[in-house]
Amino acid sequence: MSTAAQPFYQGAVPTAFRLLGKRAQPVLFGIGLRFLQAMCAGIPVGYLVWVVNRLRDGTLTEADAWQAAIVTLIAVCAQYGVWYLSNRITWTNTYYAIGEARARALAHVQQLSLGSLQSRSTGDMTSVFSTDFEAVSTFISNALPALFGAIGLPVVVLTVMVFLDPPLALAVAVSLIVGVPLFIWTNRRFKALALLRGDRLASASGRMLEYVQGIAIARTFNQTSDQLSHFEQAVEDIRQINGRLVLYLLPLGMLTIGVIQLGTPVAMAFISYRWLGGAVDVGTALVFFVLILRVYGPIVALAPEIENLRLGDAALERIGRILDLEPQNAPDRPVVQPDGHSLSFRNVTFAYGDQNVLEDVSFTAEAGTTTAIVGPSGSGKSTILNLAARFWDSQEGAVAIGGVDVRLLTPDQLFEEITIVFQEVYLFRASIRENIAFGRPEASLADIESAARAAQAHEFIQALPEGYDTVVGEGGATLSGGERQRISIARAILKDAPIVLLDEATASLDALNERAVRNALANLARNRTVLVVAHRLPTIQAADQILVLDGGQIVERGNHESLAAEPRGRYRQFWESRAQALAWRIGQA
Amino acid sequence: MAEATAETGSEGQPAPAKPADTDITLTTGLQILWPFAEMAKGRFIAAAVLATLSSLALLGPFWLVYRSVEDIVLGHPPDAMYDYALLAALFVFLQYAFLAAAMWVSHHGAFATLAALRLRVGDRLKGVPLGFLTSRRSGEVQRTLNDDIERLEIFLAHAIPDLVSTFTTALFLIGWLLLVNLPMGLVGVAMVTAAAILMTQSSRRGSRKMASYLASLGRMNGSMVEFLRAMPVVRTFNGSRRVFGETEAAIADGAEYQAQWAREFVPLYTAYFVLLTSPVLVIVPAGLWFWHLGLLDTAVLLFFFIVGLGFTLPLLRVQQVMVRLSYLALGARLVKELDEAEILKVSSQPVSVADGRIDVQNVSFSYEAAGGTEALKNITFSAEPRQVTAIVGPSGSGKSTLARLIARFWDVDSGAIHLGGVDLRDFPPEQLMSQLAFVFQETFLFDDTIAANLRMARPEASDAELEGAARAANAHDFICALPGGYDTPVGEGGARLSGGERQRIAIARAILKDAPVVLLDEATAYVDPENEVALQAAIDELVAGKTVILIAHRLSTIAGADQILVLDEGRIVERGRHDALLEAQGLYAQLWAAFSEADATALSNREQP
Repeated sequence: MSTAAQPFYQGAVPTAFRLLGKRAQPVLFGIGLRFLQAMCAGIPVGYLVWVVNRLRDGTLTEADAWQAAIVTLIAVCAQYGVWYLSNRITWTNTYYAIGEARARALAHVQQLSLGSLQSRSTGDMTSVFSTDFEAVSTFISNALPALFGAIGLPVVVLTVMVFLDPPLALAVAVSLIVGVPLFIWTNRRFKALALLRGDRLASASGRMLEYVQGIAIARTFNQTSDQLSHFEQAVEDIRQINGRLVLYLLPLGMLTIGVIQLGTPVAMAFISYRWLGGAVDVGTALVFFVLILRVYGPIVALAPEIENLRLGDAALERIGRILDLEPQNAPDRPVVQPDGHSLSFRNVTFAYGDQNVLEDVSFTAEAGTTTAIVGPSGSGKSTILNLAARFWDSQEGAVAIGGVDVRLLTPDQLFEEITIVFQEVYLFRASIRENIAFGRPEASLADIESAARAAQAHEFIQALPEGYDTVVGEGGATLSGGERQRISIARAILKDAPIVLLDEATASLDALNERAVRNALANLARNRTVLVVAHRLPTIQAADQILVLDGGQIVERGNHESLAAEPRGRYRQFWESRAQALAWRIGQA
Repeated sequence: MAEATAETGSEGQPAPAKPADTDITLTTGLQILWPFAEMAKGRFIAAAVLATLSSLALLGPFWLVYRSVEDIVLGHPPDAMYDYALLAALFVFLQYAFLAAAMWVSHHGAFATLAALRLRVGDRLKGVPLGFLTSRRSGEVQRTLNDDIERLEIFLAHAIPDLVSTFTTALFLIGWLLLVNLPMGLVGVAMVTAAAILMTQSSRRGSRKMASYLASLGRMNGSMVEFLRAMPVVRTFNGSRRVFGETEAAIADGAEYQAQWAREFVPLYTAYFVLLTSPVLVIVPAGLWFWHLGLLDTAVLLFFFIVGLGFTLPLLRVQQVMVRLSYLALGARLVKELDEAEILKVSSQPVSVADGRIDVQNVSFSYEAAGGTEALKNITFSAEPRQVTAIVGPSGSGKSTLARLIARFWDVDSGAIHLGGVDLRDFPPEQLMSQLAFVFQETFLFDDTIAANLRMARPEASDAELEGAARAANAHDFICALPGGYDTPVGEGGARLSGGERQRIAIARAILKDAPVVLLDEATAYVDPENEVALQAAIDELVAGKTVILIAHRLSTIAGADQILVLDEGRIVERGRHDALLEAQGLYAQLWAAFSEADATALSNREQP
């Protein structure tokens, strides 16, 4: 929703209004009403001045009293009405607009590559959608109107003062002229200090929390006293950081607000001086005395809203960071049709940050064959799967399916071709039936059952209290790791895509589950193009093509017979060490 | 668009609004929160007194402006005008000096309280059952220790002085107004009462919608988290529309509820603010009326016109505090729970241990959280020194629970576990821990150097001993390859090392500890296959000559064990050596058959013959 050329964040207020979209106008209108309300608050004050003056020259009559009642009543109604409208218009429009902006941001997130999504933590992302949008909402619905509401009355009062006696008006304004910039300056300073405190605090909290994570281990080694002293130090650091912040902020904060409030005595003295010196008449002096109490209060009362303004500003910046992420481009409608179900990498180079993960990788997995990728951890095996699924895009070279660059395929076309079985199984909080049919919601129950049978899952699903209608996922029925894996395999089998990407698990399951998962995977792989990150010897041995990866490059390739024949080859070493590991028995050294 | 959103809102099924904090009122909130203030009671009382003085000083300029106006209106000789200004300046100075002092005292009281509270909780964690710390609750403990305790600061440093000073100042003012003139004073009382009613009514009217709104925010967050975590699955299974749909619906519902809340809340809320920000609206007509009736003279009228206008100012501040009180109390309740967490009863009398023999007799155990279903039922076996006892069984059969009970992560419900002839519960914790070494699936390293992490096991170990243990654990080579060797920091939780490297450090640590009993629970899980041979050699070194109890899924690794216990649904269903168990044709034989078959199954796209 933002153009790549210009970052989304362009200062707090313009960005906020951009976020409001077509609701910017009603919100602006509501804020304008709030300003009007604040000026309405000036009516009874003006009337009060008039009454006090009448009291002075003794001309106040009963009719005046009635008039006062009526004028104030009108002012109450006007103020209430305008304020009510302002609140209602600003709030409802802001709430709807924030909802719409959230939905737009969500649509944007949908188009990002998995790579850019996974570059930030889930917590980070959700906090943008909840906390940050919430902060922007408060910023627009409360803080901005409060700002205009607070300056409304002082502006009216000062204007009246200028008409009555410019020098006195200047005297009243002097503390604002000095105080407000000071106020803004200290707030900037607060922001800097708060950031510094945030960093220090985060580090101290981190050390404090390490104690909770590590206390169990420390206790098993009888080392609690040492850890406790680290913990105590961290707690003490937090106390001192907080204490120091207050030491800085308190005098500064009090000084600035105090300077503004000192306007009252300064003005009192100056009014007396002008009046006693004969520069203004007694009526004017009286008006000034009554009015000065209405000038500073609203501005000082604004202090708590400053926090909301600051939070909103920071939140807009964070929202901008997400909206500025480049979406992954794909055609809307099919432009080319893949020819067959082969998968090939052509001179693919991929870097994560400034570090090359894959360098000039080329291979073709022919349709209906199995390609096994082996190599040490960190050699780039999983990256190959991620690029094949277009979770990321390579910087150089191309990944092609049926001879067509994956970037030329629509998401639907890509989805038709590929299925993936992940090591980490994700089940939705829904029935098992819905979880299996996730890729094909229109599938019949018979299809779902036969997929479950092929995935060795039918039996245990039947044994569950509600069978296929049992709810799983967070808060649902507890399934073992192996059962969860089999449901995810059933999902992939039902989807029936010609190319299977598979990350073979290293952590083992108990024997019964392990056997079922193995058989399920064998059923999934049958008659499909398979690209597998392999750890198990039978898988590797049976593969049509083995790619040995090291440091992001393919260092050896071939089938088991040809590679194992190479006496000093990388593959041969790998094979022998795996065989040795599998033969190990504890206590037989 | 507004209509469209409204439609989605009414169609969407709102989650039952059940905010946990509805049962917290002002009084119960304060009951939960106040005990935390007791730790630095003196400071908070001082802060409240200082804040009250500041609030009273705030009224000074109002009073002095009134005196000026009174002198002018009544035609008194204007001698005191400059004195009034000077006095007003003094009051402004006092107001902020008192406020600064109040904030200073309350913040330091608050920070000291938070620190003391954290230390108390930290100390308590030394005594809670070890299982308490390794279970899922450790995340909650962290959050409470960090965030919930931090949140108390708002109550201690801000709410206490604000609430106390507001109430005392309001009382003082009302008393003053009543003393000066009874009828006008009553008008003031009426206004405060009306404001209080408006405030409670407006929040009550909005509360149901607010709860629905918060619930929809919760749903939005939940579905966002699900969406982000499930992203790879969603992408490959074309599920974006469905999963996004839920989030979109939650967002639309949220906006609708919030707007509805605003429509209900705004009328009374606005009235409340009009009343409090413009008391002049009531005071001027009422004052003139009473003045006209002769109930007050001009000087008193002016007093109310000017001083009476200041008295609602502090009230505006409390509203903010009240809104947050239930939220604060909710956090405080969690802190209280943690602060009172149950601790294990321990003995401090050293015991004499015969050997490393483990006797488990008729042990039953259930997790509280699992609703009382027994995880282990009537388990009895012995593990001899210099022998390997393996525990196998399907997932969920209670293997890990059994290993953790032997390390006294929890106490057994019935029966007993003896080590070297002594009940675990009679050991001082330090002595028990010195008898045990364990390597579990998850390995925790402290954010310190490798050497420091190894020395956890034996602080007095020499560099040579350290290196010896690391060599034995096959860790020496990779440690030396690190930029700082043994002095390389491992990062937070050991993040700079791979899973296999962390596990080898853990094994080196266990070797260095040289305890007579070794517990291994899937110690080779999550190891890169290329490191597995090295890790196996390390384990051989660790277990030599010890009482070994181990859990392993890969059955071939335990085929040589001296004793194999087969667990199923919390019971020992078979026991014996590998060959005998195979002959028995029971569960173990089934497991072994499954294991062998799984191990040979190839992933292949050729039709099986």
